[in-house]
Amino acid sequence: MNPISPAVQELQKLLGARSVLWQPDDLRVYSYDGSNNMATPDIVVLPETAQQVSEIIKIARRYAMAIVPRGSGTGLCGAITPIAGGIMIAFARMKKILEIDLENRTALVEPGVINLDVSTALAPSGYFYAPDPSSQAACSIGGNVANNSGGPHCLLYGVTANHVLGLEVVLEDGEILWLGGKAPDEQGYDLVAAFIGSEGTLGIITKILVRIMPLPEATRTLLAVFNTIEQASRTVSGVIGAGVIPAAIEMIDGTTIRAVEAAYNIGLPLDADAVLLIEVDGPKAGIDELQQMLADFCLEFGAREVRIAKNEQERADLWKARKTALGALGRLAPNYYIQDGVVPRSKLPYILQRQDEIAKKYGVTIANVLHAGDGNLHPNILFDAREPGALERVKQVGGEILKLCVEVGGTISGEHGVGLEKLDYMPLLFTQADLDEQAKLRDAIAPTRILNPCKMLPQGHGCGEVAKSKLPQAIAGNTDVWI
Amino acid sequence: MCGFRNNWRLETLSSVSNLQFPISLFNMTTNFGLGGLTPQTIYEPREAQELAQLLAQCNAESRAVVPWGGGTLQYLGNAPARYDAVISTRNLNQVVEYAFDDLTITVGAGMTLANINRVLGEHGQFLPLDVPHPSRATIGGVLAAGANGPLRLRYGPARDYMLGNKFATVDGHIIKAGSRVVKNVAGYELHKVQVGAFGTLAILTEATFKVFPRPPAEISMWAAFAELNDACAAVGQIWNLSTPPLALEWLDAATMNLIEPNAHGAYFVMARFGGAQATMAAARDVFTHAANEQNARAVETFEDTSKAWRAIADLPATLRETFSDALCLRVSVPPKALQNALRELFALAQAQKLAPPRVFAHAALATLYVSVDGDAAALETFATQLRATVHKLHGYMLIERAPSALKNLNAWDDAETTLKLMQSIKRKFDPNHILNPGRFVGGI
Repeated sequence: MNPISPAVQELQKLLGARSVLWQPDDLRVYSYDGSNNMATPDIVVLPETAQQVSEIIKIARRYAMAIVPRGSGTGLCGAITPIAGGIMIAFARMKKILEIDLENRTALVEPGVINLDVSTALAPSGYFYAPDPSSQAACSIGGNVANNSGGPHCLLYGVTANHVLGLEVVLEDGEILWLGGKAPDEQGYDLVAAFIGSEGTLGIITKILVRIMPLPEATRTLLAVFNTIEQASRTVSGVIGAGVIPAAIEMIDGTTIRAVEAAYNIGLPLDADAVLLIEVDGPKAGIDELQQMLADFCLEFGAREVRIAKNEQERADLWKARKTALGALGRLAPNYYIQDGVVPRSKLPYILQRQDEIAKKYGVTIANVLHAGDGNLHPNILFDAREPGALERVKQVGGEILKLCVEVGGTISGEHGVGLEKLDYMPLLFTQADLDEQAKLRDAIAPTRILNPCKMLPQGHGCGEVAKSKLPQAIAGNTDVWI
Repeated sequence: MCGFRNNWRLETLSSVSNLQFPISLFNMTTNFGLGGLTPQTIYEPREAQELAQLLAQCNAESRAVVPWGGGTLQYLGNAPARYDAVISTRNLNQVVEYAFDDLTITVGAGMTLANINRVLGEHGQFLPLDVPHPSRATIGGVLAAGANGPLRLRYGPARDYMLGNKFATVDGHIIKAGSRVVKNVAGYELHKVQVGAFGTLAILTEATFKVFPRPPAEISMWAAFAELNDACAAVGQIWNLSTPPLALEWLDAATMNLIEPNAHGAYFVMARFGGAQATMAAARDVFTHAANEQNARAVETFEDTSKAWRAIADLPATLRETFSDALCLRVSVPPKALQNALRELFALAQAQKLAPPRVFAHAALATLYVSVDGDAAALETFATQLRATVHKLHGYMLIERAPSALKNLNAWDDAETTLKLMQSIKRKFDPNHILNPGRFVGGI
């Protein structure tokens, strides 16, 4: 018997008809994330409470259907692609900021809350939530936690994991559990750490207690223009090696600059090979000296020009190049395939040169936008998905770049996650024994594998019977993603 | 070539350890007793692979193993349920890779904090893990115990800047988790699960860290207060200064006396600031202003910042060693509850007619170290009542060390809701229950 229609009936009884989607046209928009992966869930539900999430999971188990959680769908690794079909839990209606506790420096939020909304709500009190993925105006905190997301200011403030103090999770048996809290050092195993970045495979997150911070007293932003990308990447290594940790160091290459200029005309030199966007923040005392030091540093390493933001408007203008970069790539090609490798920061000049060679070998164009201070590469490999074999070719290019990252001591994903996208690359980084050990954690907490099956660990580690009936339908065609 | 492999080797007392004859000179002078039990065998493997083999051998023979670094934190936790062997990490004491221009370092688990920081210091860098006894405490032991010091306020817990590690499993593998670069989301964060797991899942053999440049300049201040609420209000105010402190401590007169014998006052708040030289005068001014607003009786600058903070970082050990019969507790509560927790604990001690407890706290993290002595029955009532009070404040209490008459007190809180998950994790990683059996939360 097809389990879908009785499951729909039970879910409708639980949530009401308007919170259960199952008509093909309604499901289609839930087939995508920000990557090139696609698969359609059988049912989408929109719960409003943890108790409802718990009941949904119990229903899913009765009908042996997979559960896939979804925040805003901005993810870049196919972590929410419902490759085994099943029930997708969308958190669009769980987006309340439940509590702001300034004295304890915490905020308690539901998983569907948009990242930027937390900082916006905190701003009048002089606080902010530090992790800032470039999609922060659209991505959800729940998704950030599931993927341990990063962002430009991670350089100083650290990734999402460093800012989550507690979680309410629903386990695969429907139990609702609190982990962590406002007091430091909950006793026992660090279950909060285990759940962060677990891509919805261990439990479904229904509340998040985040750490908030006072806004820095002052911020200074500068943009340095370089004739060669090598000069720019040497500057990054030089700054870090000199023991200066700015709040952010972002790099944009010449290809991207020209796309941004064509789209937005913000006044960047078209003949530059790279620009660095550097930001420092902290107490007012001493910050101008720090900014000057960084500007001098850039000039010393060969920058031909350094622009310094004199006010908030100019700061926003300088950031515009970075924030609009990916959207602007549409000027160059209909599609791009984004990668997320990380290398030791001192290896940036080397890796960018090698990457260039790979691009030439395959005859593709790569537009680079980097969280350079962290050594986190975002090569966007441009292509036209209508061209037969094009997607396969860019994936090959991406694979070669990731292999190179691992070879120089780096990793295959800095902030986007494994999802489906990086499954095949996990063995570059980990031995079979390493992967088996990771599977033990998953099997200790979520042994039935109905929670987001086939993610995180490659074949043989859980893409079980549940997934066999559906095959991944990789298609290219997304145009609106952020990094 | 940027990263380099450091072949410099620490002096060891002996390298005679091997499977047939595992007792070295070092081991003959170390007391491995725990809760009245002593091990039959002390293994001192020379490298990680050998350590993993020994662990697998113990597992095959169901022999209970206590992983041992410098032994400085072995007083924590309950007595082992069984105790057959020690596996020491002391020979894993090498720098594996120090990429100073990437600000990352990979070290063997048996390397001491002092030696790690000596290596980092040559490049003006450091690991902000300011725990007691750095010349003996090994990085593996400190991570396993989840230990932290005052600098956690600025740099976070070790978990946050540890990028990856390797550990030996009971089936004899060396497992890698995490990475050596500053951002990585590939795979489950198994490396973080090892932190604070008290060596009950595996034995750490190596760890990689993001390290930090030393602040170019530092200044440290203290202020004395007559009233508890003034001192606690000062903590809140100083935590929120535009020049945020690297560390912020609260001390009573007894603990302050161990640091600065000439200080007069009932309660003390001290702060450590770091940054550009130009900002230090501003830090001194804002601290002084904040303290004076809360009726400080005196505001002083420490003459020797590093000496003062070495003494403060050592305080948990100093208290334990100076008052060797005292009940030692560690309490953590939400930061806002610091004052409540202090009031409650003084009142509960008084109700049991105990002498006033000696207390200091990592103030903005609301982690309190308490040392109290007296009659065993009164201490037991005090501990039980304080534990209940702390739970009402949504905090946790660890009995770090109990006087011998109270050895049956559970060191840990009841884990209640999360115990089932933790037991399930333990079963997966150590099915024969040979790693530190019975010492951790919930009898794990």
